[in-house]
Order: sequence, then C-alpha cells, then structure tokens
Amino acid sequence: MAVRVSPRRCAVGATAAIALIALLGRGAGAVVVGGGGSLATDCLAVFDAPANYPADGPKQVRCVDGDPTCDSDNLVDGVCTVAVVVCVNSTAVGGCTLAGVDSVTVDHALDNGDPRFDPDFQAVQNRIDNELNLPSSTADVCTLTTSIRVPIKGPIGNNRCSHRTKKLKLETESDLIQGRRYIDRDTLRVTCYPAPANGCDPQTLFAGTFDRVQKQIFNQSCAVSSCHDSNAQAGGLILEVGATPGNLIEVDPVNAAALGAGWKRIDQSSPTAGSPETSFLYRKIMGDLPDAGYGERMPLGRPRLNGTLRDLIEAWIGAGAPATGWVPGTY
Amino acid sequence: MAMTRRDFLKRAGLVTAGSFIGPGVLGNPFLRKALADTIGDRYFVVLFLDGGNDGLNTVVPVSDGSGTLRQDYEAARESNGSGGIRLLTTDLASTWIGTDPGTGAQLALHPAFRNATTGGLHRLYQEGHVAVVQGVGYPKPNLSHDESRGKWETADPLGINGFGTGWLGRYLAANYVGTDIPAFCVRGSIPGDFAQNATSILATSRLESFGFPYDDWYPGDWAAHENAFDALYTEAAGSAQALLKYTGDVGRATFDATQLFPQLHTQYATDRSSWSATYNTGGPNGTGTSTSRNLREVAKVIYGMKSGLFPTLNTRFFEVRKGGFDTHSDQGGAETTGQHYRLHREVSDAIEVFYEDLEDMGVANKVCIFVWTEFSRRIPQNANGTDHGSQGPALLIGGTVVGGVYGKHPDITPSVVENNDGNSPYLQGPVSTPFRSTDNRDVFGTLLKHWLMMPAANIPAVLPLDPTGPSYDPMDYWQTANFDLGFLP
Repeated sequence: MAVRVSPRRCAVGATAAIALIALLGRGAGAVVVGGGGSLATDCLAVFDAPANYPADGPKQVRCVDGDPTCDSDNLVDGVCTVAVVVCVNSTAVGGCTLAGVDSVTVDHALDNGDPRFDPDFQAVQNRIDNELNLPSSTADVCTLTTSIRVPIKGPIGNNRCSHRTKKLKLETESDLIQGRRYIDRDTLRVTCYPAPANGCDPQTLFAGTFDRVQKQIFNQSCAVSSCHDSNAQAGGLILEVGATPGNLIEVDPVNAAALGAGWKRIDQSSPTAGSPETSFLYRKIMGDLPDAGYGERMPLGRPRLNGTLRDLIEAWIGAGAPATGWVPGTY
Repeated sequence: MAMTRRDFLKRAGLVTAGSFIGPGVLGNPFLRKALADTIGDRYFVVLFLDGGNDGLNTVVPVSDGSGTLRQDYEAARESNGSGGIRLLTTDLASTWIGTDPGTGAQLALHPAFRNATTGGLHRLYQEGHVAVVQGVGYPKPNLSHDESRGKWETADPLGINGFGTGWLGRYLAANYVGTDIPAFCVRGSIPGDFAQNATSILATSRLESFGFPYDDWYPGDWAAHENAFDALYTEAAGSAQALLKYTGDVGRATFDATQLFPQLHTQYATDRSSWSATYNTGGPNGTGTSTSRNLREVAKVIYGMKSGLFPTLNTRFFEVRKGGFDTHSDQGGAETTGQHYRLHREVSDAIEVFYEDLEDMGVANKVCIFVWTEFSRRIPQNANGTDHGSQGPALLIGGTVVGGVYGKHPDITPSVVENNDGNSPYLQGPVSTPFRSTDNRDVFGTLLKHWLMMPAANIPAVLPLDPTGPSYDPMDYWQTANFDLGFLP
C-alpha cells in the first residue's frame, strides 16, 4: 500500500484536491491508492480516487452524502457518487519494480447470476477493457472516471439511517516475467454516510412514495442479478426502473395458484385504493402464502425486508400504488 | 518450460465450424444445389456491438416532426445531475442525418460519430456510404443477452425451425465445403451467426500468431508434430463416415491455414505499412483501439485476396466483435469522457480508417459492413444508464450502399411506452404503433439477395416466415417478407 499524489492525474475534481492539500500538505491532485498486497506488485494497478481515510495515509473513501469533495453530484440524495479511476503500471507507488500488465479483472462485474453483481463494477471493467489497451507496459495508463454509486442504508424505523460500504476489488496479472506471472490484488473501500442535516428525511431523498419503493426496495433487493433484472426476469417479472409500476398494477401473476385465486401482482381497485391482501407482490414480500403452490417468500434466500419497508409497500399499495406523490405514513 | 493452458489458448487459433450439429435442412443435396450462389468478388463484414447498444442515443430525434418525437425523447432521457444522458440539440448540431420516414422528424447520430479532424462515420454518411435502418428487431423480444443474441444469430426468434445454425452459416454451408475457409472471425471463437457444419471458419484474434500451439522450448519436436497431424487429417479425410471425414477436412484446412494466414499479415505489414500504423496509432483519429486493430486483421485478408498473391485464399466473410455496450451504469451523454461516447467514437473512427484503407486498395465498392447489436436499451433511463430493451438501429456501410434512413423510428410516446402490455417500454408496442418497424430477417434477406446474390426464391429455406394462425397476429409476426429494403441496389 502506498499513497502519493498522482504525477499524472489531476482531473478527479478540484474540490477534492483542495481538501487533500490540507490533508497531505502537497500539491494539487487526486490520491493514488495502491490498494494493498505486496509492495513489490502494488504498482501494477492502482486506484485514483478521493481517498480521505485514514488521515495520515488515505486508502479509503469515507464520504458524507452531498459532500462536494467526494460526492460528485453534490446532492443530498441518499447516494454518494464517487469518481474512481484505475491506472496500471503506476509510477506513484514506491518500491515496486514491475511493469507490464496482462489483464485486470474486477470482482462482481459479470452479469452471470452472481448475487453480488454490481453494474458500477461492470462499468469499471468496461472502462478497463476499452480504454487501457491491455496488455500494456506503458507507465501510468489510466481509465477515465467511473462513478461508483453507494447508497446509504435506510431510512428505516423512525427515519434512522446508517452508512454503507462497497468494496471495489481488482485482480491484476503482470506479463510473464521469466516464466512467472505476478498478481496484484487491490481493494478500494467506498463508504457513504448520511448527511447530518435532513440526510435521512425521505422527502429529501426521494421524489415520492413510489420513488422510495423503487430505490429502497426494488433496486436494492429485487432487480439484482439472476432475480428480477431484465437479464433473468424471474417469474416473468422485471422490477427495474421504467418497467415498474406499469408491469405490476392490475397485471396477472405468472404463478398459477395466485392467478387461480384471482390475485393481481398489485390489486388496484381504483387509482386511490388497492388491496395488499390480494396483491401477489405484497404477499410474497410478507411470506404469508397460503400453500407451497404460491412459491417462496421474497427476496429469495435473503433476509426478510425490514418492517419499515414492509409497511411502506403496504401503505403504497393500499393507496392504489400511485406513481407520483406521497402516501401518508410513508415519509 | 511447460506450456500452460492459457498459453496454449493464446497461441492456438481455431478453424472449425461452430458446432457439430445434425444434418438438418442442409443435408438435402438437392436443396444445397438450389441454394448454391456466389458472393462473387465482394466481401461481407459483420461488426457486432456486444452488450446491447442504446439505439435511442445512437440515432437521436432532433425535432418533433409530425409527432412528438423530440419531446418524448426529452421525457425519457434526463439532463440533470450525474445521471444525465440526454443529448441536447446543440450536442447534435454537427451530426444531422436524414429525417424519420414515419414522422419527418429530423434525426442525428450521437456526436461521437463526428470526428472533428477526419469526419468519422458521419462524414461517410454525408458521402452517401451509410444506411441507417431504424427499429430493427424480432417478435417476442427477449431481454437476456444470450437469448437475444441467439435469436438474431439463428434468425429463428421463435425457436421453431430447429436450425441450430446461423443465418450466415446456412448461406456458407450451401456454398462451401469442409476444406474451404470462406470466413474469418477476429475473435477467440466462432459466433452463432456463422454456425454450421459444412465448411471451415478461421477464428483467431491475430493472424500473425496463428499456428499450432507448439512448445517454443522444444522446436526440435515441431516437425514430428506436423507429420502426426498431417497423417491424422489425411486418414480422417479419407473416411467414408461423414462426421469423421468432415473432421479430417476441417483439420486439413486448419493445417494449411497455419501456413497461409500468417503470410497475409507479413504481406500487408510490408506493402501497406503506413496504413497499418494508422490503425494502430491513437491520436486525432481516435484509432489505436481494439476495434481498429481487429478491422486491420480483416484488411490484411482483403488485401491478400486483392493482391492475387495467394491463389488458394478464398475468404470473403468476416466478423469483428466490440464489447462493452451493456451500459446499465455510467453511460454518459455527449461529454467526451462518457462511456457511450467512447464506445461510439471507437467504432466510428475504426470504420472510417478501415473504409479509407479499402478505398485506397480500390475495393470500397466491393465491401459491405453490417453493424448490429442484440437489442437496444430501455426507452426511459435509470439513474445513470439504461437497462435492456428491444428493437434498435442497424447500420450498413459500403461504397455501393445506398445511404439514408430506412425504417421508422419507434413510437416513444410516454403513454405508449408505459401502457404497452402493462409491461413494457421494451416489449413490442401495441398493434397500432409497433416499436419494431423492421424485422431483422428483412435486413438479412436484403443482404442475402442484394449482396450475396441469393435468388429470392431460395431465401425462404434460410429465412422461413413465422407461422400463421390464431396465435400469431400478423401485425406482430413476420409473415410477409421484404427483401428489397433499398439500402443496396
């Protein structure tokens, strides 16, 4: 692990640089993070990111939602959008004599049913594949910036929130050196903390009740790899942005038992009223299904959704599952 | 040093058909004879954009025309915050193309298709060498990459014809035998559109290093290896058993190809060194990318053919793949650092230098490049990218291509997008306003008829129509063919 001011990159953000001048007492620039592993191989791939923790040798990004030094959208929106660059053959890591990278593989970047697949990691891998022209022995070759988006946890309960961390992991292989291949494993931890003022207020973070359902439930627990994303379409159901709520309201479920019982995915009696008890989506989330023919509780193989979120979706469906506006009791 | 599996795979090219499949429709010798045609002195290049290219940000409405196309685009694509992927009309000012045949709305290409120095693909459009076909798709679209790719490649979207072969593979199988190598795929494996079991296909990423994976540490063994392979293939090729004979023929073709194809690299590098450097050098052209280098491999073979120096060479079909179009995240808009911008720029500049190389060789009129993707992306964006969708634009580039805009832009009115089947901005639209204006088999059929010179009467054996009957609504299914879309004379 080594940290230096990048000799090459200074585009990650002037604001980030200003914060780091005080931190490092050096010239302007983003922070190169070796990412861990043996010092001898650490220069093969490095991160260039607004790292700020620990203060005496930053190797992680700890970001408060909306902080312009690390959250590039500069908005309190419940998500830290952190600009990350990957460089190979770095000259900013001391003590490393290797040069020549054969391949860089990002963990959880393949949409192949991996439950921890993350589209942001896929975007990093695409940048590496498209922009670095590997294999390469050229010094300090970098991708352009990719946004790693880390949502905070919550709001749940009485509008409580907490931080969440994503770990961006790389495995970098050197070219063959006298018949031997060296591997550099790097991890960048990116943590997002709620903003101190209003940072956990649903009406600050979301545009309305359905937006909250989409972002806090569907995006995080349902529209994930091998489940209800468009590549897997489990049960013929997609819960990605744009597919919902049109594919839910008054639409017949695929499940034969639920269909036979006359349920809908969301049973909407009018635009302002609905019935959670005959809405298959709600019953699957609750897990109180009449018999095995109705299938498993959702999210499959994951913990039950938090009580606040179960109440959220019940109130939303009960109010007729409106696409916009706030349903009382959901903020 | 022992050779690792990785080294083996890096060294070894591959010459084989896509898979060993049953005799099927092409086992019938009379049918094969009826299908036999010739591409003549032409070449056909397939460029596959893998991952699902976002069509709505590739061919973009600039105005409303008689409808609300631009307004609808702006409703679907945001302009604010980090997730903004909307292309402003000012971003599109330099890349106007024709108007939408449906609404008359002005259309433009993504700004990355205009290279400020050389002009890029947009210049080729202005010169009349690019056809843009909008709304290309197939019935009952599938949002899985693998499924959708397979439906395009087999041209059997309903899976009822039992082909197991690719649409181009069926053409090749009708015209070539096992010892021929009519096609070269610049990649590690043979793509599904070339799959068949009648002829050999070369798949390797670099001609220069194509050869048997002999162990470099024991060069003294090479001659013995070659003799062993030679004997093996000769024995198999003489077999009365069809599969064994086919295996032997393919092996023989492979063996001969290891001698021939590396020479094409050397010849091109010697005779066209400045062109070779242009493909490989980054800079104003934005070349020096995998796509430009892969197209250079194609140029090497075309030059080998054109030069007449290699009488046994008869390779006229090619495929190049460019990955990374699965832009769920970090898609970007017009900014030059955006992921989608970079992808388009790479494709545009690579095609431009390839086209110029062909022009310089005097064969630009003999080449047709077909650019496709397995699906376009969702009409509304997600936070900072787009999810999987259905129909999208395809591109045809070539000296004799009749440039212009073909096929209607999909109707992206929000109410249509939201209410379609209750389920989809990505499934096919309601009967009155189908998202898919052009069945991909009409595009394939037009290529077969007008570029590969297959008589129209023979095409149904390669591209059978969808069934008719109560469960096949004629508005949704492909029950009437149009193999004269007009983009080729």
